[in-house]
Amino acid sequence: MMPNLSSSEPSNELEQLRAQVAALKQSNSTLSATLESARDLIAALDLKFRFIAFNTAYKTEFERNYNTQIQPGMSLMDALANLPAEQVRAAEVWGRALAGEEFTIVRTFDDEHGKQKHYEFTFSPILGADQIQIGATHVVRDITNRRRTEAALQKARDELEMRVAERTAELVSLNRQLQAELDDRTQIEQALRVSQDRFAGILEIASDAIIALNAQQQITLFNQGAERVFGYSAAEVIGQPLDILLPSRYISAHREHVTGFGSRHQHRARRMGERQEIYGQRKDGSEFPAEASISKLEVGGEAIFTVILRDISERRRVEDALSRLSRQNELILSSVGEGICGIDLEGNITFVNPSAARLLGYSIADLTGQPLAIILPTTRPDNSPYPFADSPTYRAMQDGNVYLISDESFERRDGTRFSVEYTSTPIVENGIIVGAVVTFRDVTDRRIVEKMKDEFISVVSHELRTPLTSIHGSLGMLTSGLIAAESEKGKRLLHIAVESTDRLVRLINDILDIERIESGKVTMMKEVCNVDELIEEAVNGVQAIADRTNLTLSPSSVSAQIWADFDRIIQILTNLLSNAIKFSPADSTISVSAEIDSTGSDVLFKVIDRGRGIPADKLDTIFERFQQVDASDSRNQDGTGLGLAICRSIVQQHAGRIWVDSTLGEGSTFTFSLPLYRAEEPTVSNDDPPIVMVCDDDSAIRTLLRTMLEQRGYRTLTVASGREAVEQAIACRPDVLVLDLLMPGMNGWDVMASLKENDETKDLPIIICSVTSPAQSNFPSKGFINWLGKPIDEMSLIQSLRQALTRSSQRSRILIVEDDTRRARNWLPLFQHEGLDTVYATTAHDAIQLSQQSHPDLIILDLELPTGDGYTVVDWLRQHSTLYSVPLVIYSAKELDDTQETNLRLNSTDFLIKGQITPQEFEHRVMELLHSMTRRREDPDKITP
Amino acid sequence: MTKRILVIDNEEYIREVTQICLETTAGWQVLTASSGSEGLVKAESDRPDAILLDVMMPDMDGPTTFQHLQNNPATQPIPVILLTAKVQASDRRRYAKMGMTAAIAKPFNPLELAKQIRDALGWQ
Repeated sequence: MMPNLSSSEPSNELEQLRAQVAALKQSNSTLSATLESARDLIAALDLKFRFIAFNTAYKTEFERNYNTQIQPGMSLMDALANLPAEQVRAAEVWGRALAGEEFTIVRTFDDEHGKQKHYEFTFSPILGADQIQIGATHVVRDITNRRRTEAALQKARDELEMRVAERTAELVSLNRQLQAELDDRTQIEQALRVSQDRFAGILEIASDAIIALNAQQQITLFNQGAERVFGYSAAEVIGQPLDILLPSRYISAHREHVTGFGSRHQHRARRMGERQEIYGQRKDGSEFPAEASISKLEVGGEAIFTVILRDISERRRVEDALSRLSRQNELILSSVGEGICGIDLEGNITFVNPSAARLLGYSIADLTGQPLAIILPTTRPDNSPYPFADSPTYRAMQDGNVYLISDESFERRDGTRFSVEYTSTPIVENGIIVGAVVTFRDVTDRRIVEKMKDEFISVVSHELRTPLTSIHGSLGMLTSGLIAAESEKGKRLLHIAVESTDRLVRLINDILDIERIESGKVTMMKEVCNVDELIEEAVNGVQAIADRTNLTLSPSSVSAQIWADFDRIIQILTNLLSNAIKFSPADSTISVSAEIDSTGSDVLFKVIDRGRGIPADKLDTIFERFQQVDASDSRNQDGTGLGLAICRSIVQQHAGRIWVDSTLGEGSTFTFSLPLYRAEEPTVSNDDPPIVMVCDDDSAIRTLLRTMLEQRGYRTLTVASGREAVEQAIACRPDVLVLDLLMPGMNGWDVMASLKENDETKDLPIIICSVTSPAQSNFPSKGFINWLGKPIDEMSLIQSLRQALTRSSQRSRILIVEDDTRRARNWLPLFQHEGLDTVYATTAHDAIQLSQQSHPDLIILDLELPTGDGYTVVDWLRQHSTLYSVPLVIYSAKELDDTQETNLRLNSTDFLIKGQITPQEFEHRVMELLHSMTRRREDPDKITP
Repeated sequence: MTKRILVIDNEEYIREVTQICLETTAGWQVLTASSGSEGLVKAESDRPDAILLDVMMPDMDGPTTFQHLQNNPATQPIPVILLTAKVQASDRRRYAKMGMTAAIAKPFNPLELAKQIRDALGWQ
């Protein structure tokens, strides 16, 4: 600060001035001292670059640096006169400062040791009292240390920065990583959310019921599907036990199942109901079949069961319908008698039904995949080749037409051929032919029958035309007037006409008779017959004819009974006796006898003549139709050629046999055997004896019948009129009705008609008990079980009752094929007892013939037969669709192996071993088969394979 | 000249009626045989103008008898007419093939029989 000078009073002024100078001096020295004490280099210049002042440090440093002496008042420019570069720089910086600028610059110099020293130059203007610049100062500060510190600091800062950069980079990387992770997480979260949403959606909209359960089996989740399936809302069931969704009978089992599942399985799902059906129960109580899976999840130590359940009612319905359909189709395919083969375009068999395999002698597996050609013959009947391309089956696949072929053969596995009738139908799928179906049937049998029929018609035609020719010829001549009826010739012609007419009538009667017997249209009216009565009656019938040729009839008999149709047995005996009379020489004896055979089970009837005998080769065929030994025999006599055939049919209907032994020139013995009737005690059950209603207007008869019946253990109900019978039949439901025919008011026929009209009584078995005989009354062939004559024969009554009580709606018939008559006889009482009809064959040939004629419901077959073994019979049965299904009992002497059994097995076949089975067991097995068959017959809708 | 006809039939009444018929309506002489073998003998010995032969006969039937007749030069030229219940078209063809002159069906009209035979044989 500069002293502020002013002029006042002189003394005072002086004093004041002195004081001011002194103060000034003081200030100056203080200032100098301050300057000197400062460590900085300080210098001040006036506006003319002259040093105003500087401190020692400045002077020392300046002089050392520039190697020149300075003093106050000296111009800096002069001091630097020898250093022009410094002069210029000094002029520039000082110039700026002297121009009023205040600034700082830093300069670096090397010291005497060559070390860099940094200085900071701060220039500032100096202002006078009037604020006018009078000069400038500069302060030079050695900032080397500061610089060093600053450098160190800078370094430290740089290092720090670097570290910071590194760390930052690390952080950035980390950050990126974190960001990436974050992104991932976000993405996952998003995906999870989507997934969750989706699952939630699925869970909700799933048609399956999804139910979660806790360890206590309480419902914790119940989706919409479950709501739909069960009819509950989720709110209704959440927290409820699972039991409410199950039918009560499954609850405990299901609980155990879930618990068991929980303990066995960890985090595993399993289908329920794989082994058993499971059922759910809807809110309305209805049940439905379901398919379900269960899974277990351990979450936080707690088990969660998830049940996914599907209502499969509809599927089950469809499956059931499909399986029913397929079963039905299979059954149809299996049950049809026709063979059915499917063929692909290459002609290979794609499917076969059992009948096809059976008819062709293959197994189904053997045929499938084989070319159809293996069953088609490779040659035509004329031995020319027959390629598959020519076959109708191939043509059907080419042109899409259906072909019906009836004159070809197929080849069996064993190379044999059989006549077939078949159709080839193309299989068309979506308008394209993909194969063909060949449906065939074995017509061998039909061909044989047709041939037989042709032959028979031819024979019958001849037999009918022969008498007609005579009749027509005779009468033609007479009516023409060419020959007078009264003339010898005329009388002869009339005789011929009459005789021929008789012959024609007999022939027609016999033809009709045999047809009716063999077709089963005529029922044998069986009753207990006394053998001696039969012999007596038969002899009486032919005595007159025998007398004409002076023949002696020699009857002999035993006291025995048979269960037979009396009139039919008389018919047989009369026929045999008539034949014997025809062929016996005059004055000879014909014996007719009845005896019990050595086994004690049959009655043998014999008619022995002394005629010319029968050649050995005719012994078997003589019982066939129109098979007389010499046709001229019958023509000249009164035979029709059917007599013995009728005899055989009747005998067979009685489970008997007929045969002939003969020696040419010595005579013949015709024998037929019929089973002996053995009276048995009736076995009426004590617990529930059958009720027999007796309807007769004669009280004596009613009493008699009641006594007889009650002694035998039957309950009886007697009525005196037809009307009462009808009323009581409805009210009391008797098991059988014994009915008189000739009654006042409503007669027996009316009663029968009335009972048949009512559903409740139409099946009531009826036994007619009448003084009239069947031949006298014009009775319908059906409607009653038996016909008893009066006076009443107790045995016949009991036998008829048994028959009536055991019969089914239709009487069953058993064909017994057995050459051992004794064994066969043992069975007869068993079957008779059951009210069964029996037909009896002793040879394979008879068996085959009878199986066709008698329509048996069951066949019992002895495998070991003398002529053609049982296999022949079975083969034959196999090829007939109606007989194939007839139950068959095969018994043999020794056990059969599997192959043999397979070869012999028909639809339902039972195998028995002789000697290993008691008659009771035998009966039981047979009855079982028969009952199964009867049940099928009574329930025709039920198809059993 | 009176024609002579041999009737071979095992049926007695038919032989008789045929005989009466032909004798009465045509005035022919009728010989009869009751079997094929008897017919062969009579055909050879009596040399009839024609033979009426039944088809269905026991032992030796009509066609067999015919073959024998054909095989014998003595009987070969005799025309043979079959008298048969079997006269279907196929049978007729078969018989014609065998060389038989004609076949007449049973029962025949007795007033037409002679005419039928004449027509078949070309007799006036």
